[in-house]
Amino acid sequence: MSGGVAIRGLTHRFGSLRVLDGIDLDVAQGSFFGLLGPSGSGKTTLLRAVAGFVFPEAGRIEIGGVPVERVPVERREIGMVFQNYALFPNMSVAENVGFGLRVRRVPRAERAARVAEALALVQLGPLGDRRAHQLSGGQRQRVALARAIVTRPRVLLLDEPLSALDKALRVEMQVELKRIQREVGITTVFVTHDQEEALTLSDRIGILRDGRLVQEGPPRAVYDAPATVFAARFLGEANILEGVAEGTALRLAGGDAIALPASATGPLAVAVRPEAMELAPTARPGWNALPVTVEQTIFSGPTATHLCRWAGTPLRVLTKGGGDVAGAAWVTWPIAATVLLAPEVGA
Amino acid sequence: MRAAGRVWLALVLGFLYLPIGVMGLMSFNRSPFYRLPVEFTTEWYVKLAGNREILAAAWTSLWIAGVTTLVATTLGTLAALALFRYEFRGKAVLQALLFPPIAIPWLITGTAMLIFFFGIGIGRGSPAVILGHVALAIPYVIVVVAARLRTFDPALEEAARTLGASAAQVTLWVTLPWIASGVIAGALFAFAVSFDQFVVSYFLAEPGDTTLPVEIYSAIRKGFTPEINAVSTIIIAVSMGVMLLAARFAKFGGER
Repeated sequence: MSGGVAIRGLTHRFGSLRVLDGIDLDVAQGSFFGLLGPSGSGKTTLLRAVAGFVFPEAGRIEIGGVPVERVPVERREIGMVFQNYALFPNMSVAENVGFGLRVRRVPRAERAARVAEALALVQLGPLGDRRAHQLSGGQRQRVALARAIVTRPRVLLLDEPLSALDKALRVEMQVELKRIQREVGITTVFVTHDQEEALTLSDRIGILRDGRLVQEGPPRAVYDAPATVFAARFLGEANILEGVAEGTALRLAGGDAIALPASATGPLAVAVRPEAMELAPTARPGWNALPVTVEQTIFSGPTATHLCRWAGTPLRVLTKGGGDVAGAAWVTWPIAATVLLAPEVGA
Repeated sequence: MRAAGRVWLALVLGFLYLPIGVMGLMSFNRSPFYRLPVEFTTEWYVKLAGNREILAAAWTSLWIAGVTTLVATTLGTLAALALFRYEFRGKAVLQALLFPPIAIPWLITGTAMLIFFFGIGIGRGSPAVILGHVALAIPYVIVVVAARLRTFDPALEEAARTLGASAAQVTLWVTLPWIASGVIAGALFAFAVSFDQFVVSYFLAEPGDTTLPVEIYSAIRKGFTPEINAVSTIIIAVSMGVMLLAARFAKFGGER
């Protein structure tokens, strides 16, 4: 049966490089968890530790409440989809999907039935006799997925599974992946460097940096309230303003002051999403406002991005439609859209 | 330029194959003194079929080559897999040490083996010959199998393991099918190394129970007969067949 994943104090080094640094993480049973981070952040190592390819130096990994950190890969009962799919070239599609059942000595008839069921689930029913090299990228992806779930693993691990597909196919497969994951109800951990993909697919996301978990939570919550400058910049776009807080006022380094939704003291950075900001000819009462020069407007159909400059600091403002604003203007945003950021983890 | 290239190629091939061709031709010539024109006969082959020493030596050569192929291919393939899969202390040294035995003159290797085998009590005889041949053949097997493994995606082994396959199942069902052509090519090399081996066999074989090349050498010393041409022609045919097969499996000259 599918089980949740619990990770406690997971630490691992490659030589002197600390790739995982005390990771604590819970993935609820049946949920979809997206691990996000730049390359070298440790997200792939973390996934490989759950898979069993990396035996961590310290810390615990439980799958379905059972400690597995010393259990070899082949006995962990996981399913994994690799970046390049890793389909066995000497086998047909059906043989690929049936491989895990064959090693478990499932009788031939039952094997055939379960393979057919898995292929139907990924909508590849009639292609069982094909070879991997006769399939398109999207079809290979589906075969890899069917092969990973046919053994009914306790957890499904996906290592950048969509990165080899072109944009249109990737969006289609995102929808498919989510549907299949829901239908099977399998706990899924998913590694990606594509923030949009993580936001779309995941029930919860975790952002990794230098082997540490910077922030974790539902995509919406993490997006709306990034914890640090790194999280704010990594997930979507963010305007970062720095200054010194006195109560609910933030005196900005470039002069001017803005209001904070909560009180604080001392040096502070805040984030404001470009879409929370508006451009106006005058400051708006009850809102934060900064006088800017609009340097450029990039029109892209439904939205327009305005590149502005305030006291030497570039600000990005995203508006619906392409209102032609140029020269001097005010950037305004609701006080509540000002997100207080914590100092960086480990900094 | 192209015409010059063709002439050059023809000269090289002629230089390589003309002596062999002449020998083959003479094995079918009635005159034992290489007199021309060629009068076709299979007389020498018939005589050869009645030559007990040569036949016994041929049998010895065949079974020794067979055992050598089996042992060298198994050990060489396992060694290539180990070098592919694992990082360990001294791996680079080990890999570098695989090649010198190919370059060391067989005369030296043979002498060294003879001294060593007497030293540890194995002495001369077929077991010594087999050990010697296996030692000579293993580097060839490793090199050929390792070349094939370089085209193998390690993620395939990882994928098989996530699906629950034991190490043996991974090797048997995933890795071996991919490197099979390399293993077969390695086996053919091992067979050729053993079957064509003269120097090491000469040192290590017991008189009276010797291999074909050694027997031919003794026969030539007693006096050259067209029978030698006949048996040599057969050996060349077999060896070339084996090497052509090996080249085919090792895909020399690129993928298909």
